[in-house]
Amino acid sequence: MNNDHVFRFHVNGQPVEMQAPPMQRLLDVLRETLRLTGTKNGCGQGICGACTVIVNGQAVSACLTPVVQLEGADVQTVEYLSDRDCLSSLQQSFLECGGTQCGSCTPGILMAATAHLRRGGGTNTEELREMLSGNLCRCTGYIKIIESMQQAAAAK
Amino acid sequence: MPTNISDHHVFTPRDVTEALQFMALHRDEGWRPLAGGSEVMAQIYGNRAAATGWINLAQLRDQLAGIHEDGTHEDGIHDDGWVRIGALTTLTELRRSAVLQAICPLIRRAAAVTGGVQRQNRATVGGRIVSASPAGETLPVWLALDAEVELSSRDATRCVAYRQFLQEPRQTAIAPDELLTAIMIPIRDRPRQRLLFRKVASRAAGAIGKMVFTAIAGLDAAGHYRDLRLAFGGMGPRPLRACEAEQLLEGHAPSDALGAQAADQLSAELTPIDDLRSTADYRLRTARNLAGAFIAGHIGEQHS
Repeated sequence: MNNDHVFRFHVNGQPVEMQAPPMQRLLDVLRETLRLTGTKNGCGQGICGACTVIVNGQAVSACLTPVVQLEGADVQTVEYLSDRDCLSSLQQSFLECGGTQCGSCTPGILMAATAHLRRGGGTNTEELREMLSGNLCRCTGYIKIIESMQQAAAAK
Repeated sequence: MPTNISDHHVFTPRDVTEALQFMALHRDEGWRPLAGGSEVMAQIYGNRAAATGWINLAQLRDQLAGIHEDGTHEDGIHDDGWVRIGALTTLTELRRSAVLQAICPLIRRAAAVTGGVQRQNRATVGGRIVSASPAGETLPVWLALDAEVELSSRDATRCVAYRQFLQEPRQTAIAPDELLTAIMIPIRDRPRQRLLFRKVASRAAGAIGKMVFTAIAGLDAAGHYRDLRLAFGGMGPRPLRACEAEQLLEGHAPSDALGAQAADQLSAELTPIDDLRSTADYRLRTARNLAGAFIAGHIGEQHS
C-alpha cells in the first residue's frame, strides 16, 4: 500500500511540492530529496542538535520532525544563512573566533543561534550556554562558540 | 532507519470534534495521537514504535494549546480556581508563561531541562504525560501540584487526578478513544512556601535523568511544614509521591534530625532499580541526600 501524501511548504524561501511518506523525517527530505546536505545527520534521536533547522522561526531537530507536520511551513537551513559568497555576521564570527573545528556540529549550532538571536534572546554566557543545551560539540569545549555568538551579537 | 517508513499512515483531523469522531470509530485499530512528534519519531526511527497509525494533531493547536487562568473543568463540578494548560502547549510555551511562573516556578525549571531548546520547541505537555516516561522531568511537578488531566472522547469528558492516571511503566489510564485535552492545576491560597526542583543526569538538559526530585513545602506561621509534597522521577516504575514520608514530616519544623528521619523513611518507601543510566544504590543515596537537605531546610527557594 502506498501511503505517500503530497506536501507543500517552503524551504529557504522556495516553494516545495513533493510526494513522500507522511512520517518521513524532514532530515531525509532535506538531505536526500532536496540535496541540501549542510544539515547533518548525527544521532537521529533529537539529542546532538546537528540537524537543527528553523521551522516557522523556531529551532527544531529535523530528525524528529515528520513531513506531515510541515504543511505550509517555512523551513530554513544553514544554506540560507549566506548570501552567495557573503557569510552572515554569525558565520563570519565563527570563522574569526575559531568557533568551528571539525564542523559536524556547526550547521546545527549556527541555526540554533540564529533563531535565538533573531528573537532577541539574551547573550550573556549563561544564557548562551543554556541556549546550546540541545547542541553537542566534541571539539571546542564551547568557549569559542560562545565567543563567536557574542561577537556577532555585539556587531549588530 | 525503520524497516519501512511507508508502513506508517497518518490521519490529520481539522479540529477536536473530527479527531474524537475518528478515535471513536477506529478505537480498536491501534491508532495513536501524534503531538509534537519528538517521542514518536525517535521510537519509529529506533524501530520501537507502538503503532503504525498516527492521528496528527497539528491542526488542533488553536483549540488545544495555551495557558488559561480561571480555567473551568469540563465536568462542571470544579468551577474555578484552576489554571488550564492545553495538551498541545509546548515546553517552550511553559517556560515563557508568566502565569505559570507566578503560580509555581518549578514548572519552568522542569521544562528548561527537558531536552534541548529544539525538543522544547516541539514537545508538548500532553505528549510528555501520555508517553509517561518514568524519568520525565515535568511529571513529578504535576504530581506535586495535585494536577488533574482532562480526557475527552466523542461521548464524554472526564477529569482524573494525575496520581491515579499513572499506571505501570509508560502506561496510563487513557482509553483508546480518549484524547488528553488539558492538564488542570489547582490554585490554592498559598502559605509561605519553599520549593526545589533537581534533575540528576549526565548532562543538565540533553540527557534523560538518573533521577528527578521536586518538593513543595508550605510553612505555617510557626515555621512548621504544612501541605508538604515530595515527588520523584526515576525512583520506581512511574513518577511517584512519597506519601508516607509526607505524612510523617507534616507539622514538624525543619531540622537536621528531621532531615535524617526523612532520608530513612525514603529508604523504606522508594524502590529504584539498576539500569543503563544509574544504579539503585546511587539513586537512593541521591534521593536521601536531596530530600534530607531539603527537609532540614538547607536547600530550596522561597516562594510566596
